[in-house]
Amino acid sequence: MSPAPNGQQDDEAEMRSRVQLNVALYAASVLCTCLVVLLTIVWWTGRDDADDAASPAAGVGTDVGGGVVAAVKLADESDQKQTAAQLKAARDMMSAFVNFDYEDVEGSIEAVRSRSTGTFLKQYDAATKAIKKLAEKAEATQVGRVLWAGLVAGDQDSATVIVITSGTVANKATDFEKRSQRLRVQLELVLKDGKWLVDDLQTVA
Amino acid sequence: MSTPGPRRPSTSRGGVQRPRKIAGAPAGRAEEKNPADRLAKPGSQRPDKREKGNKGDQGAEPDAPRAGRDSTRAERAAASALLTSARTTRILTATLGVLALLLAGLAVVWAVDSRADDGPGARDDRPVVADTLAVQAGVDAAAKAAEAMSSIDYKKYDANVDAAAKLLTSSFAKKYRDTAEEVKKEYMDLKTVVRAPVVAQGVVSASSTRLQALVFLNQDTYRVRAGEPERVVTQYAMLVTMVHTDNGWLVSEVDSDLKKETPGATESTPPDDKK
Repeated sequence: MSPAPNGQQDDEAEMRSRVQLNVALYAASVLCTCLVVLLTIVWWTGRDDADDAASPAAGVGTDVGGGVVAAVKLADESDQKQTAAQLKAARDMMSAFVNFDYEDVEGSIEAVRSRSTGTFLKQYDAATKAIKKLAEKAEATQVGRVLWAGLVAGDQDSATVIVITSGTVANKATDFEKRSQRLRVQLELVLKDGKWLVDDLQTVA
Repeated sequence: MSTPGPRRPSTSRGGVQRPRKIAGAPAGRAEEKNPADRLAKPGSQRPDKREKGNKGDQGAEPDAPRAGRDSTRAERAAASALLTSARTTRILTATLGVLALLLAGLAVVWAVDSRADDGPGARDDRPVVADTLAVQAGVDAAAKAAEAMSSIDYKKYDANVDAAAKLLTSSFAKKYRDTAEEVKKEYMDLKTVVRAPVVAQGVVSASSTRLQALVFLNQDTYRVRAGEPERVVTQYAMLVTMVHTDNGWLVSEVDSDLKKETPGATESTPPDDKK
């Protein structure tokens, strides 16, 4: 039996690569078909929801009962950025304020101080010594998060923001059991050296 | 223009006379070289099969099983012919192209649709994009509605519920009325009067059609339990979602901090006196 001519070997190799190519193309086609079907279903379902007046995402022109959804004017881009910065500063401050660890008193205090200025900074500095002593003695740990923050009023150099936080506090007095702690706070912010800092912080009774 | 004789295999397009190069083989030789192609050709000569059929032991087999095996071999060969075919490659490539176009189209439609639904939307990095005056009107409406929904006097129960429902979208009004109906008996039995003045309000986010307002309320509840007057004060926060309509801002959803779990806490929050 004579060996197969080179041409035939080439043909067989190319046939194999053709088969591999076709199989790969077939698999890709099946995958794409599945994706198209899936995305169409998801998109269509979402569309149905949005068209439903009950949906919170009902679009412009949708009758929601009591009125037809209509768009309002948009603020200038600079105003949008300013509001975002004011809200973020308030959230960051409250996040620092409700997270306190007696094992890192300095770090916890500095996180608040670095976001403070004016009246609030003076008050906080004055209380720092007592805070350290109390926290270490009570072995106090406070963990929390900002639920929502809302801008009450704001302009180019000042803003008033209200914040609600939710968290826990644990210390010797609670037998280190975590007790729920919610804070409703109003913050006064001022723009200083391009940074929004807290000038006053009051709980809302 | 047609060629007489047996139908050409799937490697040929109708009416095309010129033999096509398959898998790199020189034109005119490919069909001869590929036994699968020959098998796929009905009525064509199949010398390899005849050889097998002429072997002594196979010749003794009954006709039916042999026919079955022949048929299976033919099917395998047909599948093999399909996989080695250049035409299959072209068809699959075209199919894949069409599917890719469909996917791209879907992505575009999806993106356009989501933008159109809510107009220029509020994002995490730009939570408030609506105009200040519109936002102020929306937050005021949210505070008014939050107070109306929470302040109920058992003597004017239905009138209070009706008044509050006018500030809501129809779907949310239905939910509100359903809840009000569920707690009505308790309100009547305990002669409950709830006042919930707003103590602070602000905007959390605002797109061109939607707004979320944060409202702080101090709820004062008076009731008579077992003949004894009782007063409960609850301070809480409400997140009110508003939708802007041609009739002003309407409430489409509400949430409260009292509904939020505090992970790991062993002590619950004060009693919720909300309806």
